[in-house]
Amino acid sequence: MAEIAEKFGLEWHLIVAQMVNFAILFIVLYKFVYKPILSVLDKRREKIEGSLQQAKEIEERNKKLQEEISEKLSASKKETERIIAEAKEIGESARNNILLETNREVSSMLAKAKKDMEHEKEQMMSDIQDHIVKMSLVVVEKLLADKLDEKTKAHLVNDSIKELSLTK
Amino acid sequence: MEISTKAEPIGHIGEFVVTNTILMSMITVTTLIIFVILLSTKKCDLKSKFYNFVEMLIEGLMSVIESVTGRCPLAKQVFAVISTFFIFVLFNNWLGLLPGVGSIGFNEVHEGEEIFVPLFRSANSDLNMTIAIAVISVTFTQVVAIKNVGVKSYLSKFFNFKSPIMFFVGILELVAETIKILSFSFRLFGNVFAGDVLLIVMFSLVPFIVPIPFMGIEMFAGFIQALIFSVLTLVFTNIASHAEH
Repeated sequence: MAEIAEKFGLEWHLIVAQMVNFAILFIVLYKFVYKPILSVLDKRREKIEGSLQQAKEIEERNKKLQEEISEKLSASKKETERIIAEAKEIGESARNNILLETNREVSSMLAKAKKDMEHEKEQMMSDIQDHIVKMSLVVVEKLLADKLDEKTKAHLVNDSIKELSLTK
Repeated sequence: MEISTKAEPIGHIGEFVVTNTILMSMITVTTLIIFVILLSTKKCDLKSKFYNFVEMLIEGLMSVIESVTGRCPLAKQVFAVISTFFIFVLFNNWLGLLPGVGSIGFNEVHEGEEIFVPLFRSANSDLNMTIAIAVISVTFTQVVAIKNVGVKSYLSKFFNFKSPIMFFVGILELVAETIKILSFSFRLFGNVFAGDVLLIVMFSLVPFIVPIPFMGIEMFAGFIQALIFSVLTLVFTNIASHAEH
């Protein structure tokens, strides 16, 4: 052991001296390099992590907003479709109503016109009948004026009137 | 060509010997302190390239540590020590590659013959240095472990009387923990010393051009050794800080 120590020049005070050297270096580096730089690095790391977190939050919020917007959009689309369909329905029913009304009116007008025409026709027919009776009376009177007495005349006239009214 | 495995004494302060590796590690500490002063004068200026570079370095170290421990308080507990290990070992290795290290020196009469004593010597090519930081590393591991799992749980790892097998496992753990100091220190010392020897040999064989790629290799090896030292400490600490199941 002592031989080895002699060979490598081991001496306890040299070892201590080197330890002291190391300790001096350690203290200086620790005080003036590690401590300030590590604190700077830590602060930076914290800052970066904070910003990352913030960015994440913002992104999440963005996503949520986007979802909301798309949801609202689809809802409004549905609403629009519904309104359009409703309007279409209303329009259709209104059209049908109008058509029906018009049809009814037209048919009622037609019926009225027909009735009027019938009425007029009847009137005309009765007028014509009266006329014919008068005319035939005159003709018969003229033809039979001389040949028949008053009594027969009246009888004949009454008969024919009766017949006419019967045929009527 | 004389290559000594021990650091040469270059002077005395009182009764203590000052070796060239002590001088070198002091130079490393001074250089780093100058960097820190430069940094703190530019701290307010966030656009300063130097500040941004250091910040990037710290962030990179933090991400390496967090990749081992996960994002938990442990990462912050161990950060300062682990990164100081990395920076200290790295600068020791790289400053040891500077021209003048190992070549500037003086001749001294020692035991009747004149020998060359270099004024500077790569700090990690002295076992005193590597043992010093290995002891700190292992002690740090134990302290953090006790802090995280509690004294009782920590001691039960080494002194377990539940069964004879567990007792021997505990003894083995104890031995392994002690051996770690040796493995840490000899790994770093061996690598850096071998690198130095390699460079000395190359420079003495062909002084021009040829040693340049070896300088590159040594720079890379210095970085790797710093990384290995700090990451091993980190991993051991991480394992020891999680309660046994």
